[in-house]
Amino acid sequence: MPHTAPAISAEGLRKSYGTTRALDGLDLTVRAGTVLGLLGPNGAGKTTAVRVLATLLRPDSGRASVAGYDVVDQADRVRPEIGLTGQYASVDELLTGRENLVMFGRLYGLGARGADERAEALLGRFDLAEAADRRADGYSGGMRRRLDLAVSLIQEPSVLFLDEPTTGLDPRSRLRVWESVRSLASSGTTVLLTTQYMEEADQLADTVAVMDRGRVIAEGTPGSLKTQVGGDRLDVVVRDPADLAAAAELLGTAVAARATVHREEQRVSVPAEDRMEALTRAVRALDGSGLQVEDVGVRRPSLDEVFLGLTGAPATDRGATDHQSDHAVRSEVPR
Amino acid sequence: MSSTTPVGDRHRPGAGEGPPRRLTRGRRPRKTAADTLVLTRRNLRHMVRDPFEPVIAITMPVVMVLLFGYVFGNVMAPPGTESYQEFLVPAMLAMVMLYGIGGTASGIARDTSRDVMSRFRSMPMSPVALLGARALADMARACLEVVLLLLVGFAMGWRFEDGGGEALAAVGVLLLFRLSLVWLGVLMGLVLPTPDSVSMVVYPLTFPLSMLSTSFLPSTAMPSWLAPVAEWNPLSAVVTATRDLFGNPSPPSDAWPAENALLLAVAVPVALMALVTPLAVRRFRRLSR
Repeated sequence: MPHTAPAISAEGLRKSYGTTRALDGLDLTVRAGTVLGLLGPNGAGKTTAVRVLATLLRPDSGRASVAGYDVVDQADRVRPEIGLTGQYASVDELLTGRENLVMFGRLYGLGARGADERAEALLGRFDLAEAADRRADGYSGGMRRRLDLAVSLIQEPSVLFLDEPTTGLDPRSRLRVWESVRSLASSGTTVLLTTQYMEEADQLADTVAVMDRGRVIAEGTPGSLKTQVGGDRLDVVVRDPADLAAAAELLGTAVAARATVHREEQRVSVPAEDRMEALTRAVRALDGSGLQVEDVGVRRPSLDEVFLGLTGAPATDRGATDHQSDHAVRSEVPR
Repeated sequence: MSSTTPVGDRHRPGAGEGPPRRLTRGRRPRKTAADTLVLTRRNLRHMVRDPFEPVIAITMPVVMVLLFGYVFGNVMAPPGTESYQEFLVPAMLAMVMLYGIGGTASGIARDTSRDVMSRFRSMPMSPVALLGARALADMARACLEVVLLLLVGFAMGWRFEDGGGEALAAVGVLLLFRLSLVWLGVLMGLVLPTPDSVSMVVYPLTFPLSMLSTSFLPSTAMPSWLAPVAEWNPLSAVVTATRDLFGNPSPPSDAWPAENALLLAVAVPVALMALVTPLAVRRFRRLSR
């Protein structure tokens, strides 16, 4: 039986817009029932990849199949199997939340009553019951994204594409989207998720594929990928730049690793293989050392650092802004 | 059915009670018809909730009927006609049908530029349903426009003279004309790059077309080189056929198109539709693919 058949597979996908190569030989395999995080900066080709796999875009060359069907030749077979949530919520803004769900339910082939019931259930599940009869153009960003996700789940897709589902959301809304993705994954839905945040891929994905210039440049579990690029870091920011050298020595001894000094940020950084242990040791060493400390924290490697580790070039070359990667650095989430 | 089971099915909890997943061939046309109705309802809701464009579109001709009728009426009545209203109302009706193309084209252009279009296109749904729904909703709007304008005309003293059956036929001619323009508008909306570019293209095209016709002036009042243009303008055929069927006076003309107005008023829209409808569907299928 198709136990080994992947839910998504792509071989040598290429797609160009004029002289821009959006996809340049993309290979990808996602096992059924797993979550793949497609990680990359703006312009890496993530959205183009999703659009090809969701039958919206025809590749120039290469092959791809979703749920066992070819995305070009059997697009009609692929479509009933997939759900799609875009970077920008793709719901009908002039309709209410409920009207959206009912309309898409009808279009997915549910009868009038079936669509009503499904809408009601999804409104409850995504905490939209109160806003159900308000027009979607009055929804907050988080509500729209939840409605979008709810619409994507109407027909219980076996494969779900989430294109940067949390971009632009506040931390609380982001957590709620994460929860939804986790519960979907645990119920057996195959999820392909694109993101610019290492943190997000780490939280949700079984496998992470890093994209750069239209192809996958690294693939593995979040753990193995982090090892490749240096893993978590512990940062200490000192008040007085004169203390940097002392802090570096202190921390280096405490966690038994080499400390890096970022002079302009007054920051000392050491690898933190075990987050809690590194933090405990660092705080213990700092306590009573007389150093004036501004901030201490453990963080995931940012997209920039992942890229630096993999390609030797910062992600900003591809158009990701410092602001966005900074956001990833700062979004510490309790485990 | 192929022999391989789609992988995802095994993992879905309660897959057995889930919604129907795949349509057999026989159900396709019924599904398309049902989808068309669902989407028509959506489009009608859009018109009600974002009424700016449809309200403007119907206000202008009503205002023009009132202006032409009351302000210019006595001066402009062509020789041999008793009242300008009789002459004017069919022309205005045809013009409203013509100008409706702008609403169709911008509606389609707005839809395709919205993100929700990606969702529609990723769904198991025929493209015919999306375009057909636009056509149906716009035809519903056209019916409303015709009724409204007829009522205004009635209030101003316009009458149909040849009986209800022929009056209905006149309305039929107008709606057929509009239907062909709906499909032309769909094609334009798909070809033009942005919703904004629609108005830049549509009005410079429709305005001269409505003026270079026998809608408002007889061709005998035009320079001799221009008269054939106006006579052969399809809009003239629609206006003349409508006037004939309503029993309203037409300017006297022995030009072939004027004498065979009804034939042209049916043949031209049918030919136009046969040409543009497949092009529109094909264009939609290839949208950004």
